[in-house]
Amino acid sequence: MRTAAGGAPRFRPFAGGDPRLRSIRCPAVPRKRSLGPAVPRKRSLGPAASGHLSRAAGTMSGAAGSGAGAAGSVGSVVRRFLVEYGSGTPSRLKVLDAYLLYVLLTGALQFGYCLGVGTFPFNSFLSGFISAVGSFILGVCLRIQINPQNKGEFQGISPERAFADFLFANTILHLVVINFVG
Amino acid sequence: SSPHPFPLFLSRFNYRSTHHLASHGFYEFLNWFDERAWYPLGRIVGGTVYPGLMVTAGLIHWILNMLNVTVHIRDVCVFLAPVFSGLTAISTFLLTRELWNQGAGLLAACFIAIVPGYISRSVAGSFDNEGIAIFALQFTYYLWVKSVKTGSVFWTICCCLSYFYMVSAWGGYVFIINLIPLHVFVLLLMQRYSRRVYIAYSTFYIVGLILSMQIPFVGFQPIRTSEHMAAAGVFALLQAYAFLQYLRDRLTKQEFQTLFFLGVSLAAGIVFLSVIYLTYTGYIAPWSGRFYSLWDTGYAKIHIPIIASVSEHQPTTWVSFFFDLHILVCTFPAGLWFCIKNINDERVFVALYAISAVYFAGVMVRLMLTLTPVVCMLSAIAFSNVFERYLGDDMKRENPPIEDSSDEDDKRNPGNLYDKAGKVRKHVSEQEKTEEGLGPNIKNIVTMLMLMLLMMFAVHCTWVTSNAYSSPSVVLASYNHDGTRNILDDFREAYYWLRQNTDEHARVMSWWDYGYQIAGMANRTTLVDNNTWNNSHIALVGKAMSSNESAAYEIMRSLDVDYVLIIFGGVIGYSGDDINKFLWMVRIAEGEHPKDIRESDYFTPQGEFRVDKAGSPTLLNCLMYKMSYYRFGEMQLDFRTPPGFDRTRNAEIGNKDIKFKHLEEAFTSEHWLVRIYKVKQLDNRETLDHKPRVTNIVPKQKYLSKKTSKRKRGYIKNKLILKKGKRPNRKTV
Repeated sequence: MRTAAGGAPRFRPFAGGDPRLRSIRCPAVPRKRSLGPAVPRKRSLGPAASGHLSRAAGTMSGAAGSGAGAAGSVGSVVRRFLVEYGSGTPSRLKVLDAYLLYVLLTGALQFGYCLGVGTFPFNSFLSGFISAVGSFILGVCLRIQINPQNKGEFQGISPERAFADFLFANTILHLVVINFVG
Repeated sequence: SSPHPFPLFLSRFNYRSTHHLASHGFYEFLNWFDERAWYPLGRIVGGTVYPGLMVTAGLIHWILNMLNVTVHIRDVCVFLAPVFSGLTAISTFLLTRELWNQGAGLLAACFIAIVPGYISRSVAGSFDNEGIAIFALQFTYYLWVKSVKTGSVFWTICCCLSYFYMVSAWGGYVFIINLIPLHVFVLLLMQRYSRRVYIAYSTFYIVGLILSMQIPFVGFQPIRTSEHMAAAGVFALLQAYAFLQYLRDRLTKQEFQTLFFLGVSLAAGIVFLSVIYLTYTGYIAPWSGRFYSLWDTGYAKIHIPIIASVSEHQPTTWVSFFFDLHILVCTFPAGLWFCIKNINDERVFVALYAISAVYFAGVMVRLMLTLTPVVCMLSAIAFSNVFERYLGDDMKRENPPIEDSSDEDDKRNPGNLYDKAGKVRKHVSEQEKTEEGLGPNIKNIVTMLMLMLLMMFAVHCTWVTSNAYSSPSVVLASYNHDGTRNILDDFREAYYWLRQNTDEHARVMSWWDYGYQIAGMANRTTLVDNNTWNNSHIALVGKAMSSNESAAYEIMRSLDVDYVLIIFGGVIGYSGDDINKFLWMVRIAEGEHPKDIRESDYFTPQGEFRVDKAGSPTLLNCLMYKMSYYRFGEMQLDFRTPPGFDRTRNAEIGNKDIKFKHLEEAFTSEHWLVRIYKVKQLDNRETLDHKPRVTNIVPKQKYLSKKTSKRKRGYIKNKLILKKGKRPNRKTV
């Protein structure tokens, strides 16, 4: 784990090593427990986090017998996720997420319009829709790159560089879109 | 002697349209309606070509002229291919360096510079889409590997732009848009997903999609046809996967499972239903025939003879693998093995590239071209590995600087995960190397052997280049017994004759292979040409060629044909002539007119295709046969053979008494290679095709009844009764 050593302390190795995948594949409950404290989770500050950690361990030792409660717990999972998101995400990323939501809604609106009214100037619809999707993708890329959690994976890319890339890509994308609107 | 028995004469058209672009400007070129091709229909050139080649040449020409370097557009066209082959070598070097190391890159660049499989498209004067497309292909792959390695949006956008250039240059861009998603998909399967892959592929797909739709010829195909759907599917999959990964980071396993099943089942249902819905409603076109023929090699022969009829679309023989790649074809599996053994993200890519390219090259001769670069890269990896091992002794002390560029890379950015697997393995091999003491003799022998192989490869490349690929397909060369060379310049002779002796607007019918040449060199209107966009029109020409003369005349009248041009190789033994292609004409015509033309009519009862006396009468009387062998029966080529002996098919022709009614011979070139016939106009007064009937009946003969036994006179109803009386004449006299 060279990277984990070199990276930020909060970084959790993601792709190459995939310790999480391995932990899913093998049934090792004690391994999971031992891994839990070793990888410091960002949200372990709040009381809710510690609560769910213990709950997770409990269900796992119970051999995942919570099939009945699955449907009911979706709501609670989402709620808890939102709470965690509110507490554990840097404000810069929140702004970016708002932008992403806006772009997503724009795309959805266009799609709904096309379903309702029709796609008559097809290239106009396409360029509008692709512009929305492309902006969304580029925004996600920017978000991934400036997320401090992913720092280890993008060593050569500082947040400033990421933003410059974002601008460059958007320029290219929208030049083409303007050409294609017709 | 030529490796491609039916050479495609594409470059003439490219030159003509580049000339048009250079002299009329870009917008005029995009709107160019060529009324001299596909005669009654015409052709919208701007919307039916990949403009990359012409625009590149036109741009270079324009820049040079801006700098007051006055060159003719023709010279730019001639030297474009060599310039781009240089760029190809550079991009191959870059790609191989990303995949392995600098030494392998250098070897790969050397290989691609001389390998015959690519030289065939990059000699000076070959002005062809593929020449620049291979550069674009390699460069796109280099940028793709780079962007997967770094995860930088900048490199991905560069990759998109390079992809755009590729789309504008060649239809083979479909190879890229399927290979890259395949790479991503396999990475997902191998659990090698990373955020870098997500960034690279998502950006590439969405920007590449809209860029590729800017080419008029491609249009809405990227969202409408099945060839591009794999890319879209992988895009959707990657989004879902990334989202799930994001959730997984935030949630515990139990919570994640709850969401996972819900999400996955929802997403799968939606995707499945929408694909079915779109296919039913016809938004997504099914796979086109050209792509079916890649999976089922027999498909084209049955359903689309127009594709199967081109020699470049035939399955590749082993000989041509060796001819085009020589020793590399033996060494590249070793390189592939090295790559798979030290696998990492980008080596997955090159392995997939190699495997798919080998398959496609096996299906079609023409796709050898996509195989060539990857074979060069992998062979270079194999050779460089061997050399590193067997030449390494003296350099052991100074190993670290030479060893790897990737080592340096790692020092520069120590957080990189990408070649972790490779790194571990490299340490092992280094240890092995130090443990094993190879004797200097073995080292010398192996090194010598390798060098010998490389030398033989170079010799082979030089030989192939000078013999097979450097002669223009318009001028044929033959060798006498004493080694002197005969130049057969019949094509140019005939085209020059057409240019000088026919009306400017004369319409020339020929098989489609010669369409571009006639348009380019003779400057006459053609009916069909190498851009085979309209199958039924070609089938009509095929029908005219394979019908008898009077039926053909009707077709030719309806198409306003003035001249018919055919290629006949029977005198000199040229095997690429029209009689040898004739069965394809019959097949293509049969596809459209199954009632009038049947392929079986052209075979003997034994199922042979023969031009001699045993041949089928339909064949011996069809227009193509008659035009090819008109007056050939009078010709005795040498004293060992009877008159009318066809050297190509080694047979004495079956129909020596050929007469034309609606055609007349207009021109036959020196070696009879090109024959041109003039279609006669309708006669002013239509002559009867039979003599007026002559009867011997004497009208005044008296009718004699057969009722002679009783001498009884028969009774005729309403018979005019003449009353006998005295003749008035006598009375007066």
